[in-house]
Amino acid sequence: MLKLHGVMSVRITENRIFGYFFALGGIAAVTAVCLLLRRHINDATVVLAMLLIVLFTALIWGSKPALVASAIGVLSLNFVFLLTEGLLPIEESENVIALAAFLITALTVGQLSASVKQRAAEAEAGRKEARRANAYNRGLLEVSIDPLVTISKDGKITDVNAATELATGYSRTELIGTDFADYFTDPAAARSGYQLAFQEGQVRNYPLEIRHRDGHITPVLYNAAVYRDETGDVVGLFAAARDITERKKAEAALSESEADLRKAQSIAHVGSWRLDIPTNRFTCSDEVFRIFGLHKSLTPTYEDFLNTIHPEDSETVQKAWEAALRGAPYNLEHRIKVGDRIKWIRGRATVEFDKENKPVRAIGTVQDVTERRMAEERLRQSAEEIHDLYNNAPCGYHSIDRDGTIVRMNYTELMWLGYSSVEVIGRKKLSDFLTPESLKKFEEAFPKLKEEGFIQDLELDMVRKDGSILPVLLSSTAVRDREGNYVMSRSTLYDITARRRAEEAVRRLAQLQTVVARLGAYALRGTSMEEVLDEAVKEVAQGLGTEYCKVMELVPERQACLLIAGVGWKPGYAGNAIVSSGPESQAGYTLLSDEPVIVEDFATEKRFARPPLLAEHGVVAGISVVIKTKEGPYGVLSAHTQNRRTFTKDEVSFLQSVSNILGSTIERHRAETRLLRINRAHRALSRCNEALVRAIDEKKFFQQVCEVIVEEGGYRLCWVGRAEKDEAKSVVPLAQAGFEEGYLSTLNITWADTERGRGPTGTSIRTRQTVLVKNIVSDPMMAPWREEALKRGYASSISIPLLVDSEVFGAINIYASEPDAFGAEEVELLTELASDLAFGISTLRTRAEREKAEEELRKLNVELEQRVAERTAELQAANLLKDQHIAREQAMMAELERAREREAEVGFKIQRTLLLDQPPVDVPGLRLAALTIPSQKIDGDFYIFFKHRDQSLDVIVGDVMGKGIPAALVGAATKSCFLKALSHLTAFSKNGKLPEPKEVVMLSHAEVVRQLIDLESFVTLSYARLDVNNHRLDLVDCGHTGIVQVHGKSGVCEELHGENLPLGVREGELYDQISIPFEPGDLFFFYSDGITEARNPAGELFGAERLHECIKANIELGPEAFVEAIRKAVFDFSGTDRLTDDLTCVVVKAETRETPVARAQIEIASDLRNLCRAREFIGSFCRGLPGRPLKQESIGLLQLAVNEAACNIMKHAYHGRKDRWIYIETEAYPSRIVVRLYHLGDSFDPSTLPPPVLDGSRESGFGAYIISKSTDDVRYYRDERGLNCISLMKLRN
Amino acid sequence: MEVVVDQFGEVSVAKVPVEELDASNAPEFKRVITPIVEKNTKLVLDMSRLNFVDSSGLGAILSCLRQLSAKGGDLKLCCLTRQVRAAFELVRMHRIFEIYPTREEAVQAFNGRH
Repeated sequence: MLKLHGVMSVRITENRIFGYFFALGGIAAVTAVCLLLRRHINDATVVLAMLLIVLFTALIWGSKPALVASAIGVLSLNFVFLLTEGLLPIEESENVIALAAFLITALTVGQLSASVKQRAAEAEAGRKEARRANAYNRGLLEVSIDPLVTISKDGKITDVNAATELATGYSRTELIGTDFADYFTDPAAARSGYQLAFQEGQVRNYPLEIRHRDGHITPVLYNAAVYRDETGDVVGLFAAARDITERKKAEAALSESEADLRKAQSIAHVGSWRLDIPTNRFTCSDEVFRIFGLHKSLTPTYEDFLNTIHPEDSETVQKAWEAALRGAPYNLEHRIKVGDRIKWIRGRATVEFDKENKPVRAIGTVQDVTERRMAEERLRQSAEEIHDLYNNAPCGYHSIDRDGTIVRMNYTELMWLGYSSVEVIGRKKLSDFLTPESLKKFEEAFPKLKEEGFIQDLELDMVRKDGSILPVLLSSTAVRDREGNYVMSRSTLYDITARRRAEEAVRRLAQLQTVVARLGAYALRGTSMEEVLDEAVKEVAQGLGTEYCKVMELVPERQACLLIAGVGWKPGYAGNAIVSSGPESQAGYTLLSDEPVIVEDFATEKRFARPPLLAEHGVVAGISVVIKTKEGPYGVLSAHTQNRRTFTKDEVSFLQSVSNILGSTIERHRAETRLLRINRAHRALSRCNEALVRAIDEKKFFQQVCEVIVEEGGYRLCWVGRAEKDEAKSVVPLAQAGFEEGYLSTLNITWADTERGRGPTGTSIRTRQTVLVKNIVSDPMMAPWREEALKRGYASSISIPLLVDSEVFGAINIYASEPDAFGAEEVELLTELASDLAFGISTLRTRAEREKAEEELRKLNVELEQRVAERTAELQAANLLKDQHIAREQAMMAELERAREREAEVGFKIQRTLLLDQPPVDVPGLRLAALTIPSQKIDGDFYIFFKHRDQSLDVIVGDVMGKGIPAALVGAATKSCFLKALSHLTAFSKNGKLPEPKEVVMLSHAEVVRQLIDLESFVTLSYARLDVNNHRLDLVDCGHTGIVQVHGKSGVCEELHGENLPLGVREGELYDQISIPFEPGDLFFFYSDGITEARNPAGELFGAERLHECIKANIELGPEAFVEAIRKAVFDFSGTDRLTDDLTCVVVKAETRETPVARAQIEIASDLRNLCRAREFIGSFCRGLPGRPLKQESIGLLQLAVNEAACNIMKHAYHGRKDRWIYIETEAYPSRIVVRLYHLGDSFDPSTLPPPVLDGSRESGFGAYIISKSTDDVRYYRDERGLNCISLMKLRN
Repeated sequence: MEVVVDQFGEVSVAKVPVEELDASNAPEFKRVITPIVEKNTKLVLDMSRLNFVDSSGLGAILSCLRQLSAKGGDLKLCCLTRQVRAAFELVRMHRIFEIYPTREEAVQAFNGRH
């Protein structure tokens, strides 16, 4: 502004100079012109012209040049025009006034003009200023980026700036005059906004949204104020909008980022906080509340937070915080308690200090690290667990490197081996721990491990530090590096000591059972008792591995046990050594306790003392069992050893089995012996009777009788003594036979009641009673003669009085070399004999008398004859008695046979422990066949056939899991358990009822389950009982492959299945039994999986379907042919003759049990001359049959067959003896004729015969061939009665 | 037991003298036939009386054949009853013996061949 003034004053000064020049020039010009034109003009005109100049100058240049111009004009007028007399020649007064007026006019005009000019200049300046200010303001307005607008009082826009144009999209001219409110999204709000401004004078930050012409919206805040004119009236409203889009965006971004922060904090479980230290004001983020489990709404205090710190950690936290206040960084993990929960948090903080180094503020974060801590804890625990598992697992772990050096080994294995880890790790090789044999195995396996990456179930024996052996099962896998090179092994080892022991136990059991079986068979072979006992003690000693074994026989008379058979004892002891039978000896104790007695060590034995016999042999331990018989204990079987030892359950039961065999053998021998003796007595009796009939002379008769008794009866001595009626009452020997050696002359017997008369002979004469001396050794009656008697080998005797005509004639005395040789039957027979003898004496005497007195004889003859007749009747009666005896003998025989049979049954059972039975052929209504084709490896397949008396048959088919010796052993053990269970249950059954199959299965299972589990084996099994009478099959199926029932009528095949588990899966398992009806013509097929799992070269299975087809196709065949057909089918299918599995099957065919329509029997002696009788018998039987007659040809063939069979029996079974018998029985059924030839000769097995030669080069050997060709079925078997039988069957069609 | 032998030129025809030839009488038959077998080389056994023969009987007859064969002779059989023939067939002896229905044919067979 100041500058501007300067410029203006310079310009004014230049103009004024020009004004002065103009004033001079103007006046001069006017004067000049007026002079020129003087004549034409008057003075007034000149004055006017002069005045014009003055005015003009005044107007333009102001008053000063105008004054100059007026002064010059006056002068010009005065001097030029108004005349010229003096200097101031104003002659006329009027002129002077004119002049003054002139001057005044000039001055005024000048003054006026100057003032106008100034004013104009001022106005111009004002205008200029105003214009400039206006431009400035607009510039300001336009510069503003905010839309600015002025609004009139009626709300119309009066002006806008460019920003408004931009914001609305309308031009200024378009906007001016329109309604302000129209440009907003909410016109009403806009309107009320400016109305508010008009009322209030202003509004601040009024939010509105401008709508652009193109629709987009700009959020704005309006500030508006009214503006007024000079008078203070409100003219309009000035409104400025602030575009807040960016701010909004920023706000949104801010709130978003705040939310993000919050979220981030919550995700990371990180909270932030701030503490104003002087005021203790604590602020924190939401996450902090969450972490500390405090509610924001409850406005927790800083102390509330501090209180959550775990008491155990509070000191640590406190210290760290104090350190932080001294400037140390705060970074700490500690626990807090949130309710019942413990949380781990990590706190971090920085403390800010003021200039005086006083802490003013702390900023920090809190992070919830519970999860991480927990995970770490878990990780630590699991690492510990893995470590623990590795080291303390119940199996051994180790790793070996390329060289076999042990690089790792767990505690368990170290413990097993008895080493510490420092002794082993990195120092020893695995091979250092192996036995030479195992080392070989391992050296074969180790390269395989390196190459193939694994070895499995290698059985090794390791050597412990103490030298003992540890059997283990080793499995390894290889650890390899990236290139696949072997780095080390990972090996597991299992201690299989227990398994080995169990296997050993089973092996041992089987060994023992084999011994029992062998011994049973040996005992059955009919060898003598002594041989059996000798064999038994040998087998027991060997079986139990003891040095000594003995059988002690109880001798009750001597209250002692006599060593009658033994092994290991010093020579001369057997047969002589004696121990007490009282409880003070082991043998006696055993007898009394009636159960096995085991002595582990005599040194600690309290029950009884060690008898001298054992002490002498240095016996330390032993076991003994009672040998029982039906008649009471026979004695004791015991085994002894010089070493301390125990005996297992199996060994005990082994010894008991042996003792059972001995017991039953003894029983049998006793029965045989008794029978033998009865036979002897009986023979003696009949021959005595013969002798009596022929007797003439008394002495000779006695002699004959004595001889007969000794010869036939097998006694050692027999003599007849006559009771003399002299004073000494002496007994005089009349006749004697046998081994006497002067015995009788030493006797000096009397029948008086004196010491020598109280012997058996004297007593029997005196008392008329039979006197029996069971044992000369111990009978006090024999005291006077004992020595002499024993010297001559007499052990027992019998004295029978001879009563003739109710008078005592004397006595017959018989001595046997065995003690207790006279049983009740023998006594009876011998008494009978004595009575016959007496009768003989009487007869002879009568005869003698007749010779003396003929007359009397005649008289007496009748009487005598009568008596003879009577006696004959008596003799007949005696014969009848004899027959009774024979019957009894036969009964005894039968009993013996039964005893044999029972024994055979036991032997049979025992032998079957070695897996397979022969199917029985003589089960009426059933026909069986079995097939066993063993594979390369032994399998545990077994079957058992058990025929019961009541027309039922048990068929047990089993299969042991696995192969090889263990499976076979398990099979044998299981089988023996079944037999044991069956016989046990049969023996203890009430009313002779058969035990149910399920009972047998459960009892057997209870026996074997433990061992099976220990051996990790199991047995699948089918137990089928075929009840022929009721046509019912009772089945206990324990997971066996299968049974197929084929219905004969429909030909339908059905698989029978139970739902039981195999044996050995679960202890205490209950087994269910199912019943299946069957009809004659049905077929049952039991088979092992060897059949269905046979494969052909293409790898296909034979399978159940093929099997069914095969069964159906061959249903018509007989059992033998049927199994053969199955075998052939399986072999044809598999295309090989080497099977991988055992092929076992059993077929049972139910037959129609027809009732016979006719029956006949005949008994013929075994004389070839009787063959024609057999033929005639068959011929007439066949021809006389009811119904359709048999073809002559068939009759001929049957006759031929019977002829051949009978001939074979005579020639081979009876070895040509003619005095034996053959019993022929025929039965005719509607469809067939059956002929059975029974005999008691040797049995023969046609399968052992060579095939017949039919080319004419041989003249014999056709018999069996002819029989088989001329009949439809032939069976050779031994029946229940022990008779051998050849059964022939001929179909009637 | 006595065997009747009829002579037809070189051929002798011996008649089996029993109805049944079994193990009981086969040895005797063998004994009585042996001299006849030794005497002759061309022998026919007339079996018309025989209605039963068992393996021993067959053996005896076979023994005759073998003795004759050993010395270059031959044995032919004739007049077999049905049952006897059945027994022969059972052990396939009908293939070893030449069997003719009648004596004449058997004799003829010897003559025809020589």
